Amino acid sequence: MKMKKVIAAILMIAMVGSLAVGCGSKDNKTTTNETTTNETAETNGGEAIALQLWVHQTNETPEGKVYEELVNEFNEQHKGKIEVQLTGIARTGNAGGYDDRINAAITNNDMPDVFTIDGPTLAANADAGTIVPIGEYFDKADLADFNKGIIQQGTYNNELYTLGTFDSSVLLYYNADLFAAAGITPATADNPWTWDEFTEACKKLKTDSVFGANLGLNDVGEWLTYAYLPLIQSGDGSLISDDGKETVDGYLNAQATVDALTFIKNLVDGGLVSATPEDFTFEKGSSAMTFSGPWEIATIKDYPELKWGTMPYPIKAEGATAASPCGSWTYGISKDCAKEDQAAAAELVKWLTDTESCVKMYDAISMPPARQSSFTKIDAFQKAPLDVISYQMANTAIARPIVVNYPILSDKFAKAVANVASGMDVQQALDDAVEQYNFQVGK
Amino acid sequence: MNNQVAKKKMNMESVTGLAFVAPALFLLFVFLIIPFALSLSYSFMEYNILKPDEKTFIGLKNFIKLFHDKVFLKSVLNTFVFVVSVVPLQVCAALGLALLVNRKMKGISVFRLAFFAPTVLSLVVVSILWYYIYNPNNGLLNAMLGMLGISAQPFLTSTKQAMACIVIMSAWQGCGFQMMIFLAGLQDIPNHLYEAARVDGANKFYLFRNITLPGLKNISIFISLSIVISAFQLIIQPMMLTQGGPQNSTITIVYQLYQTGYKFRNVGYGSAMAVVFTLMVLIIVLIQKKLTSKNNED
Amino acid sequence: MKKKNSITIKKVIFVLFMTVLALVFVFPLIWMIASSFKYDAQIFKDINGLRAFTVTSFEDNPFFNYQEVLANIPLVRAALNSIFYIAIIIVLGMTLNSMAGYAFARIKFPKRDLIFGIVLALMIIPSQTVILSQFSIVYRLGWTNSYLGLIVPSLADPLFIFLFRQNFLGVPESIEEAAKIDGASRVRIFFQLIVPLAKPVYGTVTILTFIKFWNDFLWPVMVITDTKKYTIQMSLNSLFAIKPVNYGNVMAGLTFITIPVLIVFLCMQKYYVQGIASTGAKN
Repeated sequence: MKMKKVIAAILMIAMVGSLAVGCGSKDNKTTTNETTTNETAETNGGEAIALQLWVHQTNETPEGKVYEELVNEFNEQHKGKIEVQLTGIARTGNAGGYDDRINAAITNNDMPDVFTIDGPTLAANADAGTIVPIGEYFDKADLADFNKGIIQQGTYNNELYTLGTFDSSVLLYYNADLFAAAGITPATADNPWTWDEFTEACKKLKTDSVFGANLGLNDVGEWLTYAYLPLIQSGDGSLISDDGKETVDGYLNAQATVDALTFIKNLVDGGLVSATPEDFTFEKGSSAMTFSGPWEIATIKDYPELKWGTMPYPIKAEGATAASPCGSWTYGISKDCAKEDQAAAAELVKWLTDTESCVKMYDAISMPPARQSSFTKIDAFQKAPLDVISYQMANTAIARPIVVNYPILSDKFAKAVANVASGMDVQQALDDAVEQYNFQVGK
Repeated sequence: MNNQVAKKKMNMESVTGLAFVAPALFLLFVFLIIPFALSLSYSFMEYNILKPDEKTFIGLKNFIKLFHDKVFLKSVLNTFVFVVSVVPLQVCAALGLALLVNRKMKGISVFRLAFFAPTVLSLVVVSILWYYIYNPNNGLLNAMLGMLGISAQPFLTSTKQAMACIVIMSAWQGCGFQMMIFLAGLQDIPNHLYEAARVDGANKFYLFRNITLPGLKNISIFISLSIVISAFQLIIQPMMLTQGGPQNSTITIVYQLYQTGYKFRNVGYGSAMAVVFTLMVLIIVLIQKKLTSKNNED
Repeated sequence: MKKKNSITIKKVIFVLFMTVLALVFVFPLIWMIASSFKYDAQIFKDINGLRAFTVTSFEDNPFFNYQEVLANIPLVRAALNSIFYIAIIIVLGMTLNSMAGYAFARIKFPKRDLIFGIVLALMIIPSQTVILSQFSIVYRLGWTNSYLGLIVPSLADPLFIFLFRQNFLGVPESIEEAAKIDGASRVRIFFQLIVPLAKPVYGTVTILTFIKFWNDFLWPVMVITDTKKYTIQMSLNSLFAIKPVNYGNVMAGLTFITIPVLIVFLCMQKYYVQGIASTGAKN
């Protein structure tokens, strides 16, 4: 008898537990709404609007420290009107941590008012309605100051959703000593090499202990798409249709894409680049060139004996479109930000992305600013080696495709590049990518 | 009368038993069974992680899709290949090491620590180093093969060798864990059994066959089961070393379901993978348990 | 005399063999420690040879990486936070799991084998599948940003229940029978007789629990947002979030966080003494 009672008691507790958990979803939403209304009521009564800001860096990193500083200044400036609470959440290289936490917040309908979003995930967020358009809060003239790539990556269905503090790019770094020894003259920002010229240079530079270039082919992920999509764009190709239908067949496997991957394949097959490069081969002098972002400069500084310079992205052939990567993290205003608080949230985004803030961020982490007016305030961008970045940002940068299924698209393309590098036929690798993409998205 | 006393005792025993397991069971129920039940329900839905309010019931569609998913089927095959190769390798290595360090000697705990070290180390350190070891251009392994007159191997870049590379690294990294558990088991074998046998003039092999192995029976069941389950859950090593490549030759089930659920935000489809995975491993574990319990009856 | 010599030679050979074998397992540890005394650039200059495992050039201040890391990141506080919550998990979790393991091994109660089978099956569930739902539960309980959210969901562990059960199965029943006849209750038998006998397995579980949560990153990131409550891996992650990663600093940070694990491991060694055999009980 006793035993049965105990079992019954355990079951009771368990059921109560499951009820509290399982059916909590709807109840919880109402509570969240209630708290929001309470907050607004308080605001009307003259109290400050409370805003939550989540960023993907903790205040233990230089980038996180800048967010903290900017938010403190903002709170100081808007005392009594807006009070921002900043939360930094750690993020791993595999996009764990921060992204999981945001997903959980979406599930629980408890998103922060403003949060950082990686550029290429904008379309999915806008499509799902987790973020709201912000265009109406910004002047046209002010928006014109942003790099065109920043506006491109923040726009979905003709509505502006996000803006950023910094942009990013990829450059071709070269070893000046090895170039001189091989008798090679580097290209200038407005007169880039063609792919053939690049390949020729690699052949001259290649020795038993030196590769022509490091393409970072070991980093199979977003890097490969970010860095090598411009090769396709230079042939006026694309990974996916931009007509809103998001078709990949005839784009991801079109001639322009085949040409780009054949270019990479020939470099690997010819032994000019390594399919499994080690890190820092450029700094150690075992690769004469490398494709990398602005962050590479800080690493290079640890190798004082290295003489180096930068070059723009090579183009497909003489007269072809010059294309270069761009885009990075941005800010979005979430669906859970109360309608009447959105103007205040936009005020915060404005503050985080103004000319001064962009310069401050550059000073801390060396990332190129999101605004033209900030570029002019930073001397380093007026001369070599960084002038190539400002040239590319202003003239050749093209944003990654603004499509809902970008993560799948990018994954399939990156895998195709890796497959080609490990010996697969180019057309087959791309046809497989198309098939896989269509299967994944259910087409 | 006697019967009643016995019954009462039985009841007391049952109550104590339930009281002993109740706290753990309650927590497992709330933090493991309920979440898994939710996943089970998601597996019948179309559920984009960004649109939690738009879940729609789609019946078995996710499961039907799974059986047409070439990459998923490939990942099932890869996972089986991994399990079949890593489990015997790792169990033998662990038992061997445990026997080596199961002795009273000054400084023996330093060796225990050494063999256990890979388990403790950050995966970052481990994967950086193994990447260099396996590097086909100027890696350590090819240098050593070169000394033996064997030509350079492609290792992680080869669809044929990449999985073998991951098997070796995983066994190397994981066996220290099972070594410690074997060691705890070895320590539990009463010494007097050995002493008695030695007095009878038994050799070392006899002692191992007839005292050590039977003495490790209970702990071996634990080790073989837990190692099989953790081998099935392989994700981090391929994630760090090969990202599932080349040409999907090292993609695993858990890696796939992680990517699908989080990176591609398709929670419904990812949950279906998890459910199929759990059922599959459960069946294998049940078969394994049947086989081992049969052996025990002998 | 001669016999003694051969024993020494045997011993020397054994130690030599063990040392070589140990090097196979311990080389990354040596690399990590050696690298923590080098500048970032030096680490990768040295990596293709034996120089990788030695400290190639002593700086004026060999601990510069450690100083940089500790100046930028409050690793000590994070380590104390981790030790605090893990200690609670070890004490409470081990009690819960070993009691359950003991009941599954020794106490007869209805549907025992079925329940145990279910517990075993729970080991199979990949943690990646359930983490979001687990968080939603913790969120509804209001345990976000609190150590409760780290501790309570981590207490019960099917793997450890299983390990304890298998271990208790090996305890000779004769020991308990004697105590039962003396009228001791199950609770007393368990805590006063069984637990002391099973020291090696408690030692093992302590080490394994410590390592599991010391290395845990994804769950603490979900639960804790207040920097002051950060766990060790969360703080350590800051070293990787800086581009470019300074590997000299990373290796110093990793060495710093590995030391406590090694200490726990060595401390637990004394529980690896003969458990049951030392009591002289016979099967």
